[in-house]
Amino acid sequence: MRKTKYVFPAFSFYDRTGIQDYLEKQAQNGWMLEKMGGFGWKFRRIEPKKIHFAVTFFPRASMFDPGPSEKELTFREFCAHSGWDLAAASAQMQIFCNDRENPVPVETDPMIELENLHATARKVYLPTYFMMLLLGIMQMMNLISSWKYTPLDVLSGHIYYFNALCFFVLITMCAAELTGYFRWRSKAKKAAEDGLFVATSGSCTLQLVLVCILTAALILLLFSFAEPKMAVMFAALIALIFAISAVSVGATALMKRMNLSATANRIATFALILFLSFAVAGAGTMGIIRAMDEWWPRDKEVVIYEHNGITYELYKENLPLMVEDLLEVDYDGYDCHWSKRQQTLLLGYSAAYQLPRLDRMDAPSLQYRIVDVKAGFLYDFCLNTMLASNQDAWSEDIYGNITTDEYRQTDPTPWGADAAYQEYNGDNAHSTYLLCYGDQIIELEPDWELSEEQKAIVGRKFG
Amino acid sequence: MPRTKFQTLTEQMFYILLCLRQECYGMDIMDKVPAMTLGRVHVGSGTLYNLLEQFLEEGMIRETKVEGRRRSYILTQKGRETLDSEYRRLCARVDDYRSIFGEEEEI
Repeated sequence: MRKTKYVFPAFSFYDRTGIQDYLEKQAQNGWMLEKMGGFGWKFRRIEPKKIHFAVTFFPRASMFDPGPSEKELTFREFCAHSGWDLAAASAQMQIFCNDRENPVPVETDPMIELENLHATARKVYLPTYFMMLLLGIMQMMNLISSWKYTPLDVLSGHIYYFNALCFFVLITMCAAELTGYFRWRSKAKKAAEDGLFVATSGSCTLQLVLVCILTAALILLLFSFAEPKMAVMFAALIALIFAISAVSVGATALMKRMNLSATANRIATFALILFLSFAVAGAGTMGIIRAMDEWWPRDKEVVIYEHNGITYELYKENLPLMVEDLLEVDYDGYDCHWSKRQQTLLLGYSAAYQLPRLDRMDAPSLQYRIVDVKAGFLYDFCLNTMLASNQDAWSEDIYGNITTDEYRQTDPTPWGADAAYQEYNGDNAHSTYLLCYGDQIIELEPDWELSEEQKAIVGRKFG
Repeated sequence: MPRTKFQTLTEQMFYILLCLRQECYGMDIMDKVPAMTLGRVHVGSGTLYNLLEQFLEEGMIRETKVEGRRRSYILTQKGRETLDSEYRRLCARVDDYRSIFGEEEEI
């Protein structure tokens, strides 16, 4: 039979009622709280019995203190005098237990309890939650900006959905904690005027639901990467973040054991977090990418060549349309590569290029983007986005007239397409086309003017 | 309206100060108050610890002896005045009650 167990309980920081009830139930089931740490709460096996618990806050304490201060020890002696023994403490939160029948509570004046809790909240929890809320909102705005400039990437990229979910969870959790606390505090303050305590009810269930959703989303994301290598790299990066957090928590605990002063511990911990966040995270990420490049078996043919003393890599991937399909070319040094391949339930979005080596830039080249609209209601949006995608490109003639690139409708018949558009700048036609075949929209960019026959070949390849 | 700190006293504050008319160990107040009130009033350990700290900061009590972590306190003049003020407030309440219901209807 297990003698100890670790749990990661999800309680609101002010939810003393929830924590007390939870610990009492655990004691009745034969588990006694022994330690609260950065890696969870540790319980030890005991004879099942009725034990009362009291959650109190000691605002002067800090998570960096090497041990309890004299004042904290005096406070604990006061509690012990009335039968309340310390079960566990974590920074400001002190949890006492008492197995007497009807013990006098640790807190008998609700106003005093409220003052201590609020002093702790102002010192630690409120700034943390406000900062995380701000971070979540800033990241959400960043995502909205990505949506504004690259909507097709956002719609077709699982990572964007995952990020949006992460920041939604972060914002919801922080908002729930903050509003929950201030609502409870407002009620508790009024009741305290009459000497009454108000039970707390935190956002424990909400937190658990959100964490479950996030975990499920993370697993789905890992399985959604087009290339297993990317999934492994992403998992390695997540592991790196957890490792950095664990090292920070472990270092703080170690410095406490080494009896370092709270100030020294605080400075060293923050310095370590900064170092780990930038240097190690950066180097770690680069290391993971390089290791994967080195060790992961290549699933595509790569050719290495040198030009002007610099080594280049080129790929030999199979593309749905090649220069060779359209032209007779006596050259096999092409770099054929899918530069983007991503899809979600709403949209598939890929981009490919076939470019000659740098030492043969005169050979014809071909580039294209393929948007596969899976959710019909997005079709017009995607088409309009692609039609507008070149409007930022402009040119100025010798008279100072500015013209921008734009797509103009053209005859789709030679392409065998539902609709066709050609790019123009003023009166100059470019060899860039937008072609619609069923749910697919293709932006085709050969570096030569296509003949009618070549257009028909494109139609047969994509139509 | 929120209570201004120590302008009026809660029952627990009142009895803690009352206990400190004579020098007394802080911790012992937890036993003295129920004894004084025949078990009607109890002061929790957390509440007592915090109130003693606050009384000390306000100069309503002063430390007289420190033996390890055991500290004894005694009421100061300011503390006595606060107690007196609370006593007068309570007496005024009693007087008001009597003026309405009279002595004979007292419970």
